[in-house]
Amino acid sequence: MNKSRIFQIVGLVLVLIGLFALLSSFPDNTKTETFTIPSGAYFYRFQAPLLYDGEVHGNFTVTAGDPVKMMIFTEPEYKKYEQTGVAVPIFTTSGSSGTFSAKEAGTGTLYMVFAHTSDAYENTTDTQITYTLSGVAITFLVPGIILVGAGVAMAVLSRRFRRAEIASAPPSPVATDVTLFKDQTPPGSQP
Amino acid sequence: MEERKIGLVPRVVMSGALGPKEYGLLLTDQRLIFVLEKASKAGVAAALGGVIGAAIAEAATQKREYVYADADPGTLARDEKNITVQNTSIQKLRMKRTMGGAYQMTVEYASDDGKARKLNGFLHPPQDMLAAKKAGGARTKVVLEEYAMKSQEALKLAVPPVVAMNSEWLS
Repeated sequence: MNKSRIFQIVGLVLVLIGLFALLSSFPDNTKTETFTIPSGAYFYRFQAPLLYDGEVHGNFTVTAGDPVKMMIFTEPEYKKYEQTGVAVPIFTTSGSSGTFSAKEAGTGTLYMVFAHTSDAYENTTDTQITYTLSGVAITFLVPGIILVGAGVAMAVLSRRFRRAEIASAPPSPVATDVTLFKDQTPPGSQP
Repeated sequence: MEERKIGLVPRVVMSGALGPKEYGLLLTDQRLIFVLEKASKAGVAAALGGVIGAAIAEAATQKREYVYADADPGTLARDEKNITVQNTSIQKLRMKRTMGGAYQMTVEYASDDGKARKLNGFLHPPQDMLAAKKAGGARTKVVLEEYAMKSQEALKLAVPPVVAMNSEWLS
């Protein structure tokens, strides 16, 4: 296999992988889950790996039990909440149902926390949540662009190599230009 | 009387149901033989679309080549994949340059059952020839024109004089 062909194939593979990575960098994931917060000082949390310029939004409904408190924390604040039970959420609401939305400019992880309200620690609560994550996954976008670029560059190089190979190749026995065979004479005239 | 080979146009592209088909056109004193060299499955691939479709089209293309100087016209004419037009059945040839800069050849002829038929093909030079000429500094437009003019000269020599007189040629 000659050099131009190898570059062409590798370039095509890189472009395909790059395109796959690019498509993967624009997810729009919606999930629905149900969970139970046991009685006592328990809480339930969802981790949302946020994307560049990403957002998490959705709604929740208590299907059995008392209203819940819903909070969204950044990672440092969640660590505080986990250790002390006290932290500053970027979003908070409470009730038997509700909607929520939070955005973070950079990348990172947001934590959606569901906990008993202060007067309902003794009860069990069943809740259903539907949430959507949107944004751009930099971890896929940048490699995707690089791979597509590299693939295109290899394709361009393969064309150059191909031209050089053609220019240096010995003449082919197969005709490559319009040919007039010897001893031809126009029809109707004497050969 | 032995059939004499007059000339060869190495690449004529015609549209097919599943994509373009490439023919080599062997001109003899008795007939025009369009020899199928490459049939693309681009139509199938186009339905799949995109880069993957293009890759499939590349993979699904079949090419066969001939050394026409050694080829027997009778054998080529008997191949069902090829198209044969008897020179005596040709009514008219039309050569023209399209808006896009390509050169089109139309052969108007009568089929064996007497029906009027038409063959349309584009005179695209082989990729290797085009690449070699471009590598030598020639412009694509010029290469296409030269190829069309040479093809025309070969056709003029092959078809009966009365057909040549009635035909529309490039100037």
